[in-house]
Amino acid sequence: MEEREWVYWMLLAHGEHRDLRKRFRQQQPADIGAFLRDQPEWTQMEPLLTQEALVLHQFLQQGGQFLTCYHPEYPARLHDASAPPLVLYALGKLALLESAPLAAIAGSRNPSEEAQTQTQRVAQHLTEQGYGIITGFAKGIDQIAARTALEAGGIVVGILPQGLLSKLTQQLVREWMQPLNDDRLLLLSELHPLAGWSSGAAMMRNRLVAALAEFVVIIESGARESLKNGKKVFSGTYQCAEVAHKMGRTVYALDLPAPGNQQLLKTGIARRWGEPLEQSHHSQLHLFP
Amino acid sequence: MHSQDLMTVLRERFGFDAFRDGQEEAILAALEGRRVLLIQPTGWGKSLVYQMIAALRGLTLVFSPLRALMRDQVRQACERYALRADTVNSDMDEEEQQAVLERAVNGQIDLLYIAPERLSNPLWQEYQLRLPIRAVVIDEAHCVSVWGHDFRPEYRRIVHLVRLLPPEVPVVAVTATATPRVEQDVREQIGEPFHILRGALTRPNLRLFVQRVNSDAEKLVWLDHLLRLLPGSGLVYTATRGNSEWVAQYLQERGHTVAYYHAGLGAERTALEQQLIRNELKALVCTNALGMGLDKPDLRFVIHAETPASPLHYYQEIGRAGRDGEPSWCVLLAHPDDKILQENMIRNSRPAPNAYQQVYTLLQQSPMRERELSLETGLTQNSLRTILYDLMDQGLITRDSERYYRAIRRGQIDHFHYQAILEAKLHDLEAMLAYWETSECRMRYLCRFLGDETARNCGVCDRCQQKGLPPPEPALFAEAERFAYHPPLPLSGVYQKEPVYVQGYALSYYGGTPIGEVVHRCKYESGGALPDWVIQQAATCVRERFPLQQIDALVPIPPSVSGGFVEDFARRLAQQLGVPYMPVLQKTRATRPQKEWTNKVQKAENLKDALLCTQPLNGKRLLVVDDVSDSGVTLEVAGKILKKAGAGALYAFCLARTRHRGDL
Ligand SMILES: [Zn+2]
Repeated sequence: MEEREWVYWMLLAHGEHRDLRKRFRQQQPADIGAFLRDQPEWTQMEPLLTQEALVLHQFLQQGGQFLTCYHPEYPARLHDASAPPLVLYALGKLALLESAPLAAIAGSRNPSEEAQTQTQRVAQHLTEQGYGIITGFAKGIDQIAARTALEAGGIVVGILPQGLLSKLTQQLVREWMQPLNDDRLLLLSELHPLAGWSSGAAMMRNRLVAALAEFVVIIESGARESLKNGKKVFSGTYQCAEVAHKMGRTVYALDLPAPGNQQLLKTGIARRWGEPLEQSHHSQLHLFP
Repeated sequence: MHSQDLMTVLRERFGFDAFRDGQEEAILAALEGRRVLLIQPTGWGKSLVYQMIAALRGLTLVFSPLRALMRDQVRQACERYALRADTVNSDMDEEEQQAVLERAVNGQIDLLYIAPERLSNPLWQEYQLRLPIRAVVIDEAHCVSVWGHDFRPEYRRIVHLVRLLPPEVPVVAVTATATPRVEQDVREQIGEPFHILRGALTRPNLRLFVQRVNSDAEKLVWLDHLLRLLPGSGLVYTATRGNSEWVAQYLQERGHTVAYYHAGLGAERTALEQQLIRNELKALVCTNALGMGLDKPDLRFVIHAETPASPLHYYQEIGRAGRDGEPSWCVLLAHPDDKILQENMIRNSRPAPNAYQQVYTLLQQSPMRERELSLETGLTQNSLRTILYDLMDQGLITRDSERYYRAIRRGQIDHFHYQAILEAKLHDLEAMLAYWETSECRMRYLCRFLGDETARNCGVCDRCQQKGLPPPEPALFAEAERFAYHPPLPLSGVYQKEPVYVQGYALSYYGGTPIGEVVHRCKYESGGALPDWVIQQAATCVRERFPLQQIDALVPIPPSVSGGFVEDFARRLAQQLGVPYMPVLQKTRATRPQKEWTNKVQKAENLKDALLCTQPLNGKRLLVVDDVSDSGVTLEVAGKILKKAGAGALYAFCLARTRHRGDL
């Protein structure tokens, strides 16, 4: 019975055992239970089985779905990401991933007015062209894009940088209940259901956004790095563009004065949104207004 | 784990030299990762099986349906075997709960008892990732199955949890009674590999009798008679809360030391159980709210004033008698109306399909908490909770940790399933009614229904002996008939820690009585004023039932719509009794007739601030008069306003009361 193996997967995916995960990825054992019982880490893991089962149970009661990387429904595109998630948690209909090609929209949490208007235009246009929108589902550009796409009758996938049972997610779920139940919104997370928000996780989720998307549109990005209160900070949007570029996904950036946009265009990581595409499979879909 | 190691633990920790048949097998099977179902009669030692597992494995989570049950088992585990057992439940405040959970986290608890609902409690959820739980026990496992005698939808959660547990976590389900159908259902739900141990069910020391009664009065006579006849102390089961109060009152008036006991009582339930255990009471007159947790091995009799819903219920309830192995009596009073009563209870046990749809539709529109849903739908708390659990069970809605319910998908509510359950329950009821007439040994009949084909004739029941119980004195009938005619009112509400009303009676029942018909005609079909004979009977009843010389005045409840029906009745009654008439309650705004509202929250909202008292009452003792009482909410609200205005003792009197809530 596969259900009974799920907590093994949780312990493998979320524990502090980096080496164990490495061994697992190398060996790709067919029977995860047998594999784990042979590992030196097992004595620390076994006492935790029921606790994880309780959490998973709570998540499933919320209508959630649990997916391992062995599952037939596990999205193949995620294998393009570095360290593809061993497990995925989903709220909403998983089949949305297959129902339309996905275009990622990324941008800052505190967008300029111009960027907000542009987000709506881009999201509207992509939806009309038959794309689903995938975002990091943060406040600002991400959620404006999601709202616009849903209002235009499209579908949306959000990759959350926190667990799907966290307080933050529960609020989101109540707020976005209608599109979730209408099978037009899918929320995904690779994190333990109870994990809270963290900036590290926010960066890590960019690789999943990029992997699932056919291409990425950067609306408005801060500079790659800047100083804030004397500390070096990296722009999440910029990092998303870099990750996608490295993965071989086409990255577009709007030609807005934002420092990150200009940097991306100058370095050649991104193309200017609005230029005609050469030999790209998206070109036939009349990408540009 | 080897049997020798088990024997060592058994001897050193539990002080036994040997296992009972099957105990060792069960423990080993569970430790090897098989799911174990133990179907064994009470007293066989099911708890030893999981107490051993807790001693061997560490923190063991025990799901149990009733708080009373948990309390007793915690005490037993602590006292007898020095296990560290505790419970977290809703009787405890948050700090107490936290203290227990902290101890569990720190490895200071072996057995932790919780109700299945606890899984969705926010505090529990905060702790669950730190609780070192090593084994899971499902007590009263028949509650998992809709085919059992006590299905609890919240038990389905445990099933979903257990299915996620890998074989390293032992899972033991235990029950005293499961028909073959229930057994199969539990097996399918909990999943393979499954190991069943089923024991024999015959209880040779129980003496089963069935006694026919043809009226309420005859039933009371037999109860009175049986309490004189039977030795020791025991239980009198009734089918409803109202009946338990009614029967208890009669038996008290007849000089028996009895008390009523039902789920509507609060903390005093424990005290009542203790009184029974110490034999300070001849009997508790109870609904099936009493039972599983009662730890009284020398219970000498279990009398059923009404026929239960199935042989399974009956076996379970009489099973509490004679656990010490001494002869004990189990008498079923069979009244022709029992069939209708049980049929109604079975049919009403599930809310109507459109109520399900209403709740589901609301939750598709926006997330809501239970109170909002209650106000919005008008459903009773019980109905609403049943609906919510069923919809959760069907995966259509969920509840988050901030207590919001919401739809999680669009789908069809499956009513077909419930229809099948309903039919199965009616079928079980037929089997129970056939118990009245069976020519077979009664114990054998029950055991065979429960899947034990090995049962032989008991030799002590009324069928085996071909002899019934000695009949009561004919002289007992007159008093019982008088009592059966004036039922007590369902009264609730507390003012400054005292019940609002000292006591209350109705002249008669509303349905199926001459008085009820007259009231209905006069009130709802404009049949005019009440005839004089009704007033005279009312006056006689008040003189008999209330301390009239201690009543200063008579106060009518103002009507919800215009019309002076109650005032007219109250004025004429006051005149007849020679007591002052004081219409001090006044409406401040129009209200809807109470019967249009279906739940207590709504009824109370309907009356909120709608009544006021026109003068200070300076300790006056009052008889509050209404025409028909159903839920008792109107009397409660009015009583509190009178108390606030300074009233002394309050009594209530109505022309009629409904037999079951909502019969108006
Ligand atoms: Zn017999």
